Amino acid sequence: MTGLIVVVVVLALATVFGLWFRRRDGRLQDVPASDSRAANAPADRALAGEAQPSEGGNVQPADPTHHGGEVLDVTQFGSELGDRATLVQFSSAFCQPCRATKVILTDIAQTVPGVVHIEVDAENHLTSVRELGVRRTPTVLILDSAGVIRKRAVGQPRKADVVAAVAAAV
Amino acid sequence: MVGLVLRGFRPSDSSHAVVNAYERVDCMSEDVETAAGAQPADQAGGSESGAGVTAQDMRSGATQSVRIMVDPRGQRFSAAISVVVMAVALIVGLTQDLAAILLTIQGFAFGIGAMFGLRFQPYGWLYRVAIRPRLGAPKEYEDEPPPRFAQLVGFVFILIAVAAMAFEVTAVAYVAVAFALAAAFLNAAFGVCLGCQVYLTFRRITSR
Repeated sequence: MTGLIVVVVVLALATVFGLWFRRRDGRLQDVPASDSRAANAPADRALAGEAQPSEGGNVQPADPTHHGGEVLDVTQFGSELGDRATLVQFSSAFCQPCRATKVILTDIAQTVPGVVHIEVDAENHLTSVRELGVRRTPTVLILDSAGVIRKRAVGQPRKADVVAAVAAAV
Repeated sequence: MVGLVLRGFRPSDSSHAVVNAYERVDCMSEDVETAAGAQPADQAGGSESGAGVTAQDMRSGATQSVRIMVDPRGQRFSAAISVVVMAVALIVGLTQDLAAILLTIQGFAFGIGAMFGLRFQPYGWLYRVAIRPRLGAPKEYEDEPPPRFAQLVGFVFILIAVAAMAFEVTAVAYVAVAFALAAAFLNAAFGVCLGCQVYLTFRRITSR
């Protein structure tokens, strides 16, 4: 009897988790401004489409003239910033969606001028992984031309979302 | 120490074989770029090799000469069988001998998959022999290391469970099997590799 209850509870919880995970995985989120002045920019909502009805509702920086996001130094990964945008992908050895993510981002980097894709092995850059709070792979950061982190996705992002975010980051 | 064990899972170790668990894909490649290019019939546009500035940084174990690729459906099929076996063991009750036998079998299945690779995993073999011929080739393949790592995670939980049963700490056994069941179910139903998700966190904690 105990076992039956365990089975039912585990499967129910795992189903809920799986559905939640699937819904949330790969969604592009705005990166909260480190500067508290960038508090209101509902216009940004439109940029990434319906892709991010951010649950908390309180994460919306991205005023183009004043964005308080953090600057990521990509030279530590042996790369240069793209003229328009840079897609930084953290990958690891045990990561199912990393390869598909890489295909998507590489494709964007090849088709959109001025966009660069950098793939970083998370395990070799644990310091930046900790600083950036990367918890699982793939984590994708979208940087604007100045290297400011504008968007972040944990999990495999949808191509259309990334394209939209790149357009917005210019 | 654990790092050493994990290294054994790196694809870089597997330069001896190109055979994979469920079918064979020849992806002899110098680096990650071409490996991505080898992904069949998926995103054909972007998969030319030499992808610009990408991946210059994959200079670690993730860069290797041979990638073992697996049919993701086989992986999920195996996970589904694992779910059934563990669920039956739980329902029978972890104080029963039958449950001990089932979990031992399950432990061997996980252990073999983790230690020798998915192509030797019994459920994977069953898939290859019985199911795969009816389905035809998969649309896409995936890397072997993540699902193989998942087998290791499952193995550890089953090991804990069986040990706990031997020492009659039944509560611990239930918890351990519950975790393994949850992970296998997520894999079977959603294609989510829970162990893989936790892996980076694990590395962040264990290495300085």
